[in-house]
Amino acid sequence: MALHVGREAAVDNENTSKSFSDEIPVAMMEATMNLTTHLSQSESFLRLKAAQNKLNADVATLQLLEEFINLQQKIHADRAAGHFSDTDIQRFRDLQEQVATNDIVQERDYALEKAVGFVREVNQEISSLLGVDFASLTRRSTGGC
Amino acid sequence: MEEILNELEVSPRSVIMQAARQFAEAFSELAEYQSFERAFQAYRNDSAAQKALEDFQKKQASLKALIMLNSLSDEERQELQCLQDLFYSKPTVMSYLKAQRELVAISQSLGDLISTEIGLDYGTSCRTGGCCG
Repeated sequence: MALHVGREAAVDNENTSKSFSDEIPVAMMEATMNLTTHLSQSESFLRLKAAQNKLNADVATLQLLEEFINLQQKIHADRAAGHFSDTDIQRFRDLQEQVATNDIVQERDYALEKAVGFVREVNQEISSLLGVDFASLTRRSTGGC
Repeated sequence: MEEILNELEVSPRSVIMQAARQFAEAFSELAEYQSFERAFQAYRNDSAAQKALEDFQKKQASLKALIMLNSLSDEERQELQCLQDLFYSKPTVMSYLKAQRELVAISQSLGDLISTEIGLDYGTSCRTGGCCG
């Protein structure tokens, strides 16, 4: 296996529309499913799943998040249209504080952070063997940040 | 939370890392990866292509300020374009870029599959250092 650590993709990743099954060899598919099965059964992912389920089961927290997201979108839209509401801003700050101190949201966010960290470690393991950042090859161009 | 973690159902870290290594091994055996490796080596060993790249980058660097100000003259723009075209016209560069596109295509399919299975966007999760990192 050749090593070219640090080598980066030289062109922007283009979107492709091929499906998985018609282009991925069986051995590659098996290795992928083996990896995802174990990754999904890792402690990090099981904790994330439990935290997400807990959040999904809590109606009050879901309502809080929904109101927070809706108000955030309204403020963005109002700003784009040149409007500004002190009441909305104040309410947004209140909601932001409530979200930031909500135990269920915090537990989910913490679990998500841990799961993402573990995915990065797995990617690092793969990339160090390939000599290229595998994750960067998987990203589809979205037309900028 | 502890009750959800049945030790018999949790994949140990060592097993997951072994699966990651098996994944890398399978990936390295893909035709797309091997073509990319060959094309990359051919491109790196092609002195004419490397010289063409160097010429283009030198010219681009010398005109950096003007490019940023969008103040290139037609002549400068044409000269830069010619150097870029010359680089991209090299057979090893074309082969390398084609191999890279093919490698990216299959990697994207694998990334989509992984993301679907784990419920997290793999590529985005592995980003570091901001939105373009």
